[in-house]
Amino acid sequence: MIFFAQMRFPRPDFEDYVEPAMNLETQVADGIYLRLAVLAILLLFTGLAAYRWRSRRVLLLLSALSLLLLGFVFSACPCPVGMYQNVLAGWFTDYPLTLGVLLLFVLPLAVALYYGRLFCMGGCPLGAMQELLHFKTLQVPLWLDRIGRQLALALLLVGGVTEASGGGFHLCHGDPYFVIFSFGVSWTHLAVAGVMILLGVFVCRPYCRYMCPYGVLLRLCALAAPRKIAITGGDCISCRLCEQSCPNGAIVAPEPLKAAESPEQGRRRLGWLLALTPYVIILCAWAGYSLAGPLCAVHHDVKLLQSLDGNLRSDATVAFASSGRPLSELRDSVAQQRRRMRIGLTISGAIVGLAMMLELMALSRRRSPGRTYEVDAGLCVACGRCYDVCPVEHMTVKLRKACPPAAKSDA
Amino acid sequence: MRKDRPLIYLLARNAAGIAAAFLLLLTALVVSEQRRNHVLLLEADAVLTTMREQVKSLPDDEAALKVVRDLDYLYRDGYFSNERRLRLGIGLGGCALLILAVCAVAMTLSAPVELKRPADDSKERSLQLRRLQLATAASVALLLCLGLLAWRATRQNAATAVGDAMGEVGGAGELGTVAVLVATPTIAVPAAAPPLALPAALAAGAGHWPGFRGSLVPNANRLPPHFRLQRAWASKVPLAGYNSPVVWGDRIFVSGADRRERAIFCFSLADGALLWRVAAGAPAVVPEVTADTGYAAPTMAVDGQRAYAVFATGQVLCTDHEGAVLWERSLPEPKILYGYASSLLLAGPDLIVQYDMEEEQTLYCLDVTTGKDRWATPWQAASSWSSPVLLADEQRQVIFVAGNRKAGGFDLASGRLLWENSGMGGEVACSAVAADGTFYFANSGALAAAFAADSGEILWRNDNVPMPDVASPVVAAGVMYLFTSGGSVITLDAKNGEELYEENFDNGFYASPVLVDGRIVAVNMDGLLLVVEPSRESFKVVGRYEIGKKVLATPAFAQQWLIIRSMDNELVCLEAANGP
Repeated sequence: MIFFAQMRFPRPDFEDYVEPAMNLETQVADGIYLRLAVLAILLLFTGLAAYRWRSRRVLLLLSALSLLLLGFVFSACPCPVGMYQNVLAGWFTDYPLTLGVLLLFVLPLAVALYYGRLFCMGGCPLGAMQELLHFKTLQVPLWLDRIGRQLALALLLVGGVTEASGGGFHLCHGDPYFVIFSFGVSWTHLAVAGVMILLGVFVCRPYCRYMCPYGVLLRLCALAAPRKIAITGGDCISCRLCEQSCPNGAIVAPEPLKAAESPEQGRRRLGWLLALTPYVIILCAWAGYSLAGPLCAVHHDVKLLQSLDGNLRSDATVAFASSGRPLSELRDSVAQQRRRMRIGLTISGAIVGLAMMLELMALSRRRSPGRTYEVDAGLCVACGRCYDVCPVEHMTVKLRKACPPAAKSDA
Repeated sequence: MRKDRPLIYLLARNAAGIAAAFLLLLTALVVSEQRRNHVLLLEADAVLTTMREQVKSLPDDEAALKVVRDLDYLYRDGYFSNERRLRLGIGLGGCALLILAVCAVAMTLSAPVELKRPADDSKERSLQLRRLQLATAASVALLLCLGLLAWRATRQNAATAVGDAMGEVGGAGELGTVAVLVATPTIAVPAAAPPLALPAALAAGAGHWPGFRGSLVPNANRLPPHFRLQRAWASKVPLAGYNSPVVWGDRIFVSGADRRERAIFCFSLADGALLWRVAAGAPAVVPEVTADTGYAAPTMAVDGQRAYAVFATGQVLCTDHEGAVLWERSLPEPKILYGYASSLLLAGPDLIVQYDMEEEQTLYCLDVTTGKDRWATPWQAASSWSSPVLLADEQRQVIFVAGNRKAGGFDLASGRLLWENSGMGGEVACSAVAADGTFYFANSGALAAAFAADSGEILWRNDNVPMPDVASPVVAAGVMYLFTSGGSVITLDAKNGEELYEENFDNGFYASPVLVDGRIVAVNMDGLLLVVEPSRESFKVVGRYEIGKKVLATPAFAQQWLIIRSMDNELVCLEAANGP
């Protein structure tokens, strides 16, 4: 357990004691296909509940089921937060990447490409915990919500670059819900988890929206999905009752009849934003390049070389001295990792800068007239709250109950 | 309370409240219990490790083995019990979370839908857009600031590295010697170099300055009959420390430390060049110390193969003369007012560490080749900042240890407490001096006395004279010299403790006086160095030298060289050249 990692528990003093070898591949792949099957079934039913039955009750029950099964029964590792790191590690390093883990990573993305982010509601134990413990909604202002979402993108990029350059699974270690599912305690994790749970009581899905790197990938996939969740089962009458119902800010309102600014003003602002974009990208790229120096310190080899250069004695330095590995080889490895980090973080900085400007431009864009209330497929997590507040939906359900399909066909 | 809520909603809400309260209470209980058990288990582990090492030297002692086995069983039982309780706590917490989640679902499903009609806010989007523009600008600015800070830090690190490589150790002396750092990373696996037995080790160390007040052991350093002191070089020690230099051959060793780093530094005797530095690893705990004690008050010890240092963190570090770390170990967390300050005592293959803390007092004897315990003897003496002193002759090998409440004599071979005498008092920082089968000791608040080495009997005591509270006494020509912090020098007859005469100076003495070639060398806090010819009649100063710096550390000798660590952390080397 993580808590006991610092405790010097003595090894057994038997003369013939042999330390058991750790097989990482076996441990990671343990029970993965069963988990995959459960996930597939849950996603299937989530899709049915979201598109066909249109029932928030069923969606909530599926969410609870995913928390129970994928969180507590099968354990949440590899979790959605760090899963893509497993894939990156398998791709760039000699980390054992099994087919099961790869499928676990790809399946929710594949579903999102066609049906949107069903995984967030019915397949992710972290999302389920936040969904179920959300009692009272405090709406996050739009500007704060949009800027906050860039943090998740930044985490995705930094975590990816770090992992691809051999720096380890740092995003996994930052997953605050991990301690709950793994029954391991680290005081930092416990504190962050406590803060997140408390925050989640009032702010819907704070971790999913502002920190989850996998959520960013799901959002990108969902944007391309041909099918979207509809707020109403019938025709929208623009009653505006759903406008405040989505705590994730995923409902896009139609253009107001009286625009706050003239088209000329809007075009001028868009022009300014376009002109500024290259500068913002360059500045953010430079910031990413500069931050590569301190962030390199997360690499084991970099830390080892710093200890050796400073003549600091540690288990790692003694092990290095005993290994016979040449210092020059270590220096070459560190130089390579630094180079990768610089390149990766420079590109990451540029991407974050571009994303911020795109968010601004998207909000500046005027929707074409005649469009009604719709969901933003990238932000919608299929929670089903909007079904309950739509009067047309209620009428449709009542009609459906009053006139079952068989009766209708008879008629 | 709203009356339109259904009963199931109210029940779920109350259950959720109870589950939340239970969860908070449980978390607090688990956290507090685990923290307490964590500390207890660590302490038990340290005791068990020590006992295991002791038992290795007593393989036939079945009773001792049984004690260790029983303790080992208890420790493992405690460990797993603790783990079981933690798992139970987390399991109960998980159940509470699940209940909370179920209640949340029930509340959500049973509560009537609240419809909110938003206000007419046609300008809302444009307002949000303006705010998002500002937030984006602020985010870019924040990123830039972070980038700028990182860039500056990287540049400073690069500059420091270049500075180190060019030897910017600083503090070149009047003769303009510039030290050059040529340290290389030399972490090594432990080497097997057999240490010398005690008599041979003492003989080998006679030509050097192997520890605190190096002339306590037989010493062959000589001063010319007539000499004049002149400054040879000065060199800055990179980290602070009140310890005194030790010397072996052409190498000087000192230690230095602050909250972040603890290190040994090796300087060249020839020109003061810093040859290498080796840092100790990270300690379990960095204790609080006062500024006048610091993290590196204990003086190092050195023999022909190794150099040893102990720090206020309880870490003991051993290197060879080239800077390769041979071993390092941590003693239990030092809990002592002001900070740990007892210097090391090297006795051939044994390294003696007086580890008298506020609650526990132990005299350790470490194997110089591995750092493991040869023996460790606990005793009840209260805290101490004094250093152990060895009296080794053909009849006996006794270590004298002074604590706040007691003085004790320990057998070097077995660690057995031979005797103890409870006539002490005050805060003991001075150390004894051994001569003619007797330990002489004086400390303000305790006593000035002579102890018989074999029995601990007090042969004489004198409580009526000013006594030092930092500088240890020196005995020469039948006279015991006390250099006090107030500036007076008191002389007592070593046979009966009667006061002979007194001399006064403007400032007091913290550096202990040392005996070299029959003459006493003492330095006061103003940096006034005195060479005194021992005499029963009067205080005969035969040489003076103004170092020009505040001095608290005891000087070291190596052939005709005299090395002093000043209060501003500089090593000053004086040469005793022939002449008037």
